[in-house]
Order: sequence, then C-alpha cells, then structure tokens
Amino acid sequence: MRGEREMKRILLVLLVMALFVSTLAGCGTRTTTAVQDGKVKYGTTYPLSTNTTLSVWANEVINPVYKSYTEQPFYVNLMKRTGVKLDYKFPRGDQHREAFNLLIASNQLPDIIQYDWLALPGGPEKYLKEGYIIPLNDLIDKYAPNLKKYLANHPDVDKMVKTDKGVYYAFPFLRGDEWLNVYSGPVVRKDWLDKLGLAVPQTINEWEVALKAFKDKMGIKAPLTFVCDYTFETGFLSGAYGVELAYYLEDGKIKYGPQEAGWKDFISLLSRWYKEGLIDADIATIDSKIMTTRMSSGQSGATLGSGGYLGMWLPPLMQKDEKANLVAAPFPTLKKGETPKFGQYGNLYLGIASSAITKECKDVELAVKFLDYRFSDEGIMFCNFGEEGVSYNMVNGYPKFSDEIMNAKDFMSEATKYINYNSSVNDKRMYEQRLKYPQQKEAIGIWAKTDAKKYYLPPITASSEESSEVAKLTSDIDTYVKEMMLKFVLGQESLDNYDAYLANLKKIGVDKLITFKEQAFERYNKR
Amino acid sequence: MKTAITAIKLQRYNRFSMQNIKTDFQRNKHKYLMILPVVLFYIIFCYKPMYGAIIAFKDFSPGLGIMNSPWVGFKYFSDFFTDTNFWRVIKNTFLISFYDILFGFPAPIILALLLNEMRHKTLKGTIQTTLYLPHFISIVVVCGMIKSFVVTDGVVNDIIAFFGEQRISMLQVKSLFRTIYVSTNIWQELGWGSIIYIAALSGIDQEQYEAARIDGANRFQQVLHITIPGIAETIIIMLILRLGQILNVGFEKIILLYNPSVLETSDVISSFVYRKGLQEFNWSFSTAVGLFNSVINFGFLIVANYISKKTTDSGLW
Amino acid sequence: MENRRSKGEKIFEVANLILLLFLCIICIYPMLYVLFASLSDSTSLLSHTGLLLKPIGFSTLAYEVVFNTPLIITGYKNTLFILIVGLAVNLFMTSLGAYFLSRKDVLWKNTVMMLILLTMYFSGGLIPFYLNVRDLGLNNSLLAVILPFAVNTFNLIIMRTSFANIPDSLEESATLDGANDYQILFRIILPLSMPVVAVMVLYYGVAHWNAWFYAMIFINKSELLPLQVILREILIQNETAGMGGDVGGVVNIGETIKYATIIVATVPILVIYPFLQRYFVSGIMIGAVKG
Repeated sequence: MRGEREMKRILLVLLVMALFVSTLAGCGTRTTTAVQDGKVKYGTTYPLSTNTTLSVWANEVINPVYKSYTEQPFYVNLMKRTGVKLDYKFPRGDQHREAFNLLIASNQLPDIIQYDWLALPGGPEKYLKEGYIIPLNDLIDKYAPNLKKYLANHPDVDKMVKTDKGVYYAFPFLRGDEWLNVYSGPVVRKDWLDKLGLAVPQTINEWEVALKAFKDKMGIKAPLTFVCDYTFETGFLSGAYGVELAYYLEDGKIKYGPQEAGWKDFISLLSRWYKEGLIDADIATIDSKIMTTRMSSGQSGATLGSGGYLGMWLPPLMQKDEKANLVAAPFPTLKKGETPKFGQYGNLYLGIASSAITKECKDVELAVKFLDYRFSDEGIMFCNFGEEGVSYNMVNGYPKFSDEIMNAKDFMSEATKYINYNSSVNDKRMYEQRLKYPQQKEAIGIWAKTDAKKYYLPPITASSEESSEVAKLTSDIDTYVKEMMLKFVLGQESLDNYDAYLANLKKIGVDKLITFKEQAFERYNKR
Repeated sequence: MKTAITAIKLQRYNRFSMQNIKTDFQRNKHKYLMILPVVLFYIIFCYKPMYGAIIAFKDFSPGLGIMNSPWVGFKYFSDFFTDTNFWRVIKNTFLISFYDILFGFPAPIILALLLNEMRHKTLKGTIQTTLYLPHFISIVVVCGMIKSFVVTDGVVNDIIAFFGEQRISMLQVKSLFRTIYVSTNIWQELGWGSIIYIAALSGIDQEQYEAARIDGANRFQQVLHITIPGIAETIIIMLILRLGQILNVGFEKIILLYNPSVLETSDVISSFVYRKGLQEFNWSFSTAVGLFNSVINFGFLIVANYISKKTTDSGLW
Repeated sequence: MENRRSKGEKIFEVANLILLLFLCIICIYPMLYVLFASLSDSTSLLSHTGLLLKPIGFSTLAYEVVFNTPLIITGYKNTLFILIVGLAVNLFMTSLGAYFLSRKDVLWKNTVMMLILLTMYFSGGLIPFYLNVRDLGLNNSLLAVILPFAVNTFNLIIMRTSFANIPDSLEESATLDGANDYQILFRIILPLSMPVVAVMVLYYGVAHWNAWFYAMIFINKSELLPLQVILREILIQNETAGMGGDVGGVVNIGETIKYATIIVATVPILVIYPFLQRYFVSGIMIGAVKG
C-alpha cells in the first residue's frame, strides 16, 4: 500500500518535472501566439516539421546580386524559419501580366500564387468561381491564427480583403499603419520663397502670388509643373473647389469630381494660370522624366511630388546650389485656415502581392500554416527587417538597420537581400529609416493633414457580370475627361463650351457608372 | 530573268491533274524534299496554334481555356466598330501609315543610291555604320530624346526662335503629331532600312555601267536606266510587303509620344486597344481587333500584289 | 563635253558628301548621348537640360552595377548560343525555302507561298503559341527561342526574290552538267547570293541578339536567360529601388543604368557589321554569267 502511494507521488513529481522541462524546451523553439488546435501533424510552432515542398509563383524580383533565390538570404531564412521547403517561380522581366495569364491558361498551377488579385479584370471572384483558387474562410479559421487575430483587430481591413460575398481569397499584403497611406503631395522651392520673402503657400491665392513671383521676379519659365495623368487624383488645387479627379463619397452618395460644380472653377483657374504663364507651357507632354529634369535643374519651382521624389530631386539641386531647399506644402485650400477637403490618400490594402492557394495544392493545411507565418509578430519583423543581429539590431526597442544597409550605395539593393517588404504587413519603421532627408520625414505629416479619408471610397469591386461594362465605362470616361481638361486648360477649347462637355460626359454614361459603384458600395458594406 | 514561256506554262498547268502532279513530282522530287522541313515548321509552329484565332469570337477567360470559353459571335467586333473612337483611330492609323510610306519608304532607297555614288570606300563604310546606329536605341530612350527636342525650350524650338518665330510646344499641337512621328521614324530607320537596297545594288552587273558610259550617258541617266531598274524588283517586293502592313502602327512609340491634348490625331488602333487592355485586359477584344487588322492588311497585300503583277509582271506569287 | 560633266559630277559628289555627313551627325548624336549619359554622374544627369556633348562628371558606376551582376556572364553565353545555333537553323531553313520558292517550274510553288504568307497575317495569339511550344517540351530550354522562330517569312521572301534574280542560264547549264538540286543551291546559288546572305545574317542575327519577350515567357531558370532579359531585370530593380531617395550614398542610378544597358547590348553588334560589309561589294556575279 505504502509503496503504491510512494509510486504515485514519485510519478506525480516526475510528471510535474516533465511538464516543467518541456515548457523550458518550448522557449528554445519559436512559438507563435498560436491557439492549440490539437493538430500535431506539423507541430503548432515554427519551424513546422514537414518534408513537403510547396511550389509558389510570386511576382517578385530577386535581388540581382544573386544567381538564384536559393542563394538570397531572405528566401533561405524564410524556408528555415517556416520549416517548409519552397520551390519558387518568378515571372521574368516586367511581363508579369502575360506570364500570369499563361500560367492560368497552361493549367499547370503551383500550390500558391502571389499576385495582384484585386487588379485583375473580373477580380478574385472570377478565379474563385472558375475554381482556380480556393476560398480560405474555413482554413483561416482553423489553421491561421495569426491572420485571424490581425483581421479581428482591424475590422476595416477585414472588409477590404474579402469579396462581396464575404469570401477570403488570399493572404493579403497590408500596410501596417495609416502613416503609410500618404506619400505624395505638393512640393515647392523653399529657398526661392525665402528669397522672395514669402511663406509656404496654403491657399490658392498664396499659390498664385508665389508662382507669379517665381515668374516675374525670378524669370522662371515654368513655375508650376506636373504630370497631368495622375496629379489631380489627389485633389491638388481642385480640392480647394471641393472636387478631385476621382470617384468619392459625399453625403452618402458617390460623386465624380469632373462633373461637379467645382470642376468648372478649377479648370478656369488652371486655364487662367496657363495663359498667364504660371504653368509649364509643355504641360500636356510632361512625364515623370521631364518633371524630374524641371524640378532638379531649377526650371520649375513647384509640382506634385512625393517623399521618394524629394529624395530624388534634393541631391542634384544641392549639388548645384547648397542652399537649395525643397519642402512639402500643404494641399491648398480656398480660405486660409481651412482643412483641405482632399489630399492624396491610399489604402491599407492595395490588392497586390497577395497569396492565394490554388486548386492544385495537395496539402492546403500546410500552405495555410506557411502563409500564416508572415502574420505572426515574428514573421512581420522578419519580412520588414530581416535577421536580428545581421540586418538589424534592436536599439531601445526600435529595429535599426545595420550599418551595412544604412551606408550602402543603394539602400534598397542592400536591404532587399534580407527583407521582402511586399509580402506581409508593412511596418512604418522600415520606411522611416529609408528616408534620408528631414524634408521627407516632415512631408508625410504635412500631406496627411487633410479630410481625404472622410471622402475616400473603399476598395469596392464590380460584380463579375458587370465588370467588363464597368471597365469600359471607366476607361472611356477617364480618357474623355483628361482630353477635355487639357483642351480647356491649353485654350484649345473655349470655356463657353463647358456645358457641351458636361452633356457629353452624361452621354458617355458617367451616371450609369456611378450607379454601378453605388451598388458595389452597398455590397461592400454588407461584407 | 523569268522567261515568259515558263510563266505561261505554269499558269496553264492544272495543279490537280494527276498527270501533271506525277510529272512535276518526278522532275522536282528533291525540291519538294527540300521544302519539307520548312513546311513542317510552318505546320507545327504556325498552323497548329492558329485555332486560337477563335478567341475573337468567344468570351475568352484564361482560366476556362479556349475550348471552354463561351461563344459570343461578333460581339467584340461590333464593340469595336461601334465605339465612339472607332473612326478616329482608323483614320489616324491610315493617315500615319500613309505618310510613313509616302516619305519613309523612298528615303532608305534614296540613301542607298546616294551611298552607292560615293567613291571613297572606307568612308562609305563608316558612314553606313553610323547611319544605322539609331535603330538600336530603345524606343523609350528615343522618345525621351524626341520629347526633349520639341518641348518649348528644346533644340528644335531654339532653331525656330533663332529665325524669329514663336516657340511652340510641338507635341501639344495636333496637326504636328504626324509630322513628328513620321520624321523621327525616318531618322531612326533610315540607315537600317537601306541595308537591303545596298545589298540589292551590289547585284547589278557593273559592265552595264561601262557600256552606258561609252554610250555617253551621264551619271544621272545611269542611275535612272541601270541602277533603279536593277533594284526594281526588290523595291516592288518591299513595297508590296509594306502595304501589307498598313494598319500596323505600333503602340509603343505612339503611347510614349502622345498625350490627351493630341488624341485626335495620334490615337491609333494599337494605342486604343492598349489603353483598353490596361483597364480590362480583354483578350477577346484585342484578338478581334487584331483579326480585323489582319484581314484588312491581307486585303491590301492581295490588291498590291495584283496591281504589281499586272503592271510590272513581278510580285509575291 | 568631258569637263562639264566632271564639274557637274564634282559638285554633286560634294553635295552628296555634305548631305551624308549631316545625316551622320544627326544619327550618331543619339548614340553619343547614350554613351555620355551612361558615363555620367547619375545625380548631375538628372538636372541636365539641353544637348549632351560630353559626360557630366565621370562615373563608371552604371557599368560596375551591370557587370557585377553574376547573371551577366550567363546572359552573354546564352545569347551567343542562341545567336550561333539560331543563325545556323535560320540560314539552312530559309535557304531551302527560298530555293524552292524561286524555281520556275514547280507546280505547287504558289500554293506553298500563299500558305506561308497567310501565317504572316493570321495567328492564334500568345496563349495557343505558348501552349504549343510547351507541349513540344521546349519550355525552359534555349531551343524555345530558336525553333519556333526558325523561319521568318519576311526574310524568306527577300531571299527568294534574290534567288529568283539569278539568271536561269546558270541553273540550266548546271543541270546539263548533271548537277542535282542540292549542288545547285549550295555550290551555285548561295555563293552568288552572298549579299543577301549577309542581309539574312544581319536581320536574323540582330533579332536573336535583341530577343527578350519570348525568352521571358518561355524561360524561367535564371541561368538560361539571355542577355536582354538580364539587362531588363537590372534596369527594373534599379529603377524601383533608386526612386526612394533612400539613405546611403548614391541614388538615382536608374537613369545611367538605362543607358549603360543599351551600350552593353549594342557594342557587339556594331563590331559585326564591318565584317559583313565586304559582302555588299558589287561585281560578284560578273564572272559567273560570263563563265
């Protein structure tokens, strides 16, 4: 009797010790905040224990310093960390659209396709319907605790990454912070303003004064320049009149800027400025290359730029003149002190670089678990910063890139050996460190001070039956609006004919398109 | 040259008469053997995939594949014909092509003739090499250069201002687009295009020149009566082939040079389809337009060849 | 009489030379621009306006980046392979085809010509073409950019036209001497057609050298990619990377690399033409006809 109790006590102690030791051992392997599912097929921690190879087709560019991805640290480490062997195929060069279509047509699909699903005609719904990719709802629920948690914590993002019917189709690529949504806005030569005794312009009138001063007092031939194609989607200048070249939400309705009242005032402004020589005479032909020449040689004093462009134009400017200074200006308003109605604003979910699982995948559970890694805290750090101690170090809780990367001839070329910032959740700290100049760092704050988010239309999608008509209307309307805008501004078409333009716009079908969008918006809200 | 008798013989031969086939095969057995690999090539790599042209009549989806995509008949053709831009792009394509042929076709020929008149052989070679350099510069860089020349402060405007005229932003003037497009085409392709004619020139019997000189013909007359007839057949064949590509105005250069303010004269079929492709990536639509293009082009080829046969007795078939 | 002619001719010759030299200047300028730009300091290049008459600041950085890419070597090797094997296939097949189509009394000649011409106009499009090549097992091999392009119909027609211009008397007398078709083609026609053969080498050769699109579609393995694809990938990587105004020293190298890739790709071709030029010398035919 007594021996038995002894035995039981010893067994109990051994059991407790065993548990204790196993939890110690558990600290060695990397655990995610995974909820135990009971499945021990691959283990519930990374690296998973498996011998299966997953095949992936991803629209990524290997760092050209390596002959193959099998040599590039990011992929090597990814395989090591997740424990899954990967067989990657990349579309070569820039022909990824063709390559993707050929991939689908060839019916030899890999397990995972990482591509711009939202940008495809017909959208992800089409490929779900045709059975090429599988719906992920159940799988995420069961095997992807990290993604599940992230979406639960970010319900606005959750809506974005589903289809109208509520189906998850891919592991999304997301921006991790609102800060990353704004990256472009007006820039102006601060040193010229200082010389002229002017402050950074905030209203349309102040802009006009500044541009006139550039022209009259400094002899600048093209004070304001910009690339027509995309500039006014941001509401630069037009926002002061309450419109932008886009579809936006206002008072619960969807509106299209170019047919609203403010558009005529905006066009008249541009037309007048053009006649007075305040706008680049070649404005219709300006592309990004010419814009760069204009801004970095001092032929122009202001444009719609970006953080990236600031970093591109400051070196040549300062090379010629140490005192040259290019800074961000706020989006102009009509009255001083107003908050700009519009500004450049992006989305946390761009619909690109998202990983879907195809019908050919034999081991979906493994695929899901593999993809879920990049949503774990550890996976996010890895994708954005690389290996601690190698490509970055924690300094006061901030992941600072290594000296090698910070001092490299080309930051991104060096950094992308270890990181792949387009594959999980973008960390703003990664971008912050990329910015060299204080003007860049301040710019984002200045450009973000708008109401743009209020009016921003979320990523609605056309239903598969409508998608080709929607696409046709969108492109016809866009082409016509841009054609007429330039004609009015250049003076080739008189503003007396503005009403004819409006009538034509209606004839092309802008109201029909708005109806489609409103229906899509309703569906979006119900997701 | 071709003997008239054999030509008539051919025309009178019935290709399907067993007697003729037997005689022909006996005589030309090896010739048929020689063409066999070539024919196989065309069957395997060109005819076998040709069924894909039916994409033009289907609502094609790469996921469903060609066979399983639903039929839509002439839907995409009618979409194209009824598009508000249809006449504009057709007109622009024809006009640009027409000017390109009118000025761009003779230019390399004239260049070849001028080079031929050069006495100094080494200089001639160097000049030739220099002249075909622009052909190798990528279209993106070429268009970047063109743009920088024709903007208000570019070189071309500097020249215009030198003569006291107003500077103009040339790519914003719709009546200038075709001129810019065609003249820069000539600039880029002049040298490379002359190679075929230079090769043809070297096949002319030099003795004819001797004989002509003795007969008292001057240089110009020699060119007119010996040189040009000597390369006439090459010119005709090249012209027929060029006419057979009349609707093929490539989209890349158009897209790189145009902007919304000059769409009226610059938008061609290929740029139009390209823009639609960006938004819709509609394979069926672009295949339908491509088929339309091919049919028109082929029609021109047949007519050009027919006219050529009637007037000069040489042609493609 | 004689003096007047030579004076007029002299004026013509001078005018001709001036015109040609003028053409040379406007044709060489773009290439010089590209060369100078590739050797310029990337930052200064951005702010440069107007004509480029010499490199701005001197920097070989663009070339360093290009040649430090390990795949450049395999790129050149693959392109060379495609060039040599491709040209051999092209010349062989095109000669056979041109011979057949240029003979006078072949019953089915025009039918074959028509069927070949049709392929220049009607095709199935990219997807069937791709699936076809893939089903033949050529995917991911250099042959995928050689075999499906063995004959270019345009070139075939040019060669045929040239073959047809060789006098019948030559073929007739050779036949009388007992020559068969192969001997006629290879011993008589081809040697007399060196100018057009040189043109074929140039046309097919340059096409192979510049090929990138189909290589991108059919070939995935890095080690098999030809030169132009590698150059494009270098360009893409540096354009997107350099745009950020990143931390670190040199940014904006995208522009200079764009120009460097053109030079790297074009210089080999420029070297070849002088060798082919001597085939464009007239007078090859004289002996043949007389004899």
